[in-house]
Amino acid sequence: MPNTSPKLRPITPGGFSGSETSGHHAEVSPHIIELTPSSHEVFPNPTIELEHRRELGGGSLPLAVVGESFNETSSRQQAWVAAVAMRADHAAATAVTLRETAITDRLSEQGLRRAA
Amino acid sequence: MLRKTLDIVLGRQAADYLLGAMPQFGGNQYQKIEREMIAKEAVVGATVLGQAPAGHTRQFFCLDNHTWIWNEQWIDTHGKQRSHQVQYDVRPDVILKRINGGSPLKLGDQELINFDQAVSRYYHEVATKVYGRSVVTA
Repeated sequence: MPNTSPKLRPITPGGFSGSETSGHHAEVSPHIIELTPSSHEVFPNPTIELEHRRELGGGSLPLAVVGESFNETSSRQQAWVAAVAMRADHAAATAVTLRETAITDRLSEQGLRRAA
Repeated sequence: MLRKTLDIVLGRQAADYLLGAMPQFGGNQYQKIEREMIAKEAVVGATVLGQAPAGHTRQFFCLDNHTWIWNEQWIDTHGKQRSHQVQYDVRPDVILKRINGGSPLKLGDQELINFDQAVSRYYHEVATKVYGRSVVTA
């Protein structure tokens, strides 16, 4: 499905972009969005932001390196995909756990508990 | 048996009180609250992807431990409701996306970087803004 695929757009150093689509969804035009104040609130401390970028892999994600053999590049890319998958699973697991805890708390407030 | 007998004799509420038990709920109530929580996450998640184009309604959220959803709806220039739903399936060795239930496509290169950043930001934003928890960054 070339050229019709919605794609997540990158977070750029000077701003944060949304989504992009192309092809028949012409009305969904790519555009760059500046970081909002609320986005900065998450990282009020530059050191924390730096640490966060490090956690994300920053700009050092192992894209293809000139001079590497195909197998080396392929192996690095597989490792990269595995690392992204692990981070995504961790993020999802955390969100799901927080969600379940919040639901249980809400139900407890209502004097209910989940059926065993 | 005892429980049934007490229910009949005393009534359910009194039996609950007597047995120190909290009334149970069915799956519907759990799911109802779960949907509410996901809707809240989806609103915060939408901001992770940036500001939606004018007239668009955007949602981005994790459905379960391995599935992420990006949903977007808008009215086109002909007044017709349009939407796309992108589902990301995270597997240990590959991340697949399906657009409107179509064939799976491998995520790679820049899009994989974008996904990585989006889910990591989601993790922080949702924990903070929806659940009031601060998350430790390694």
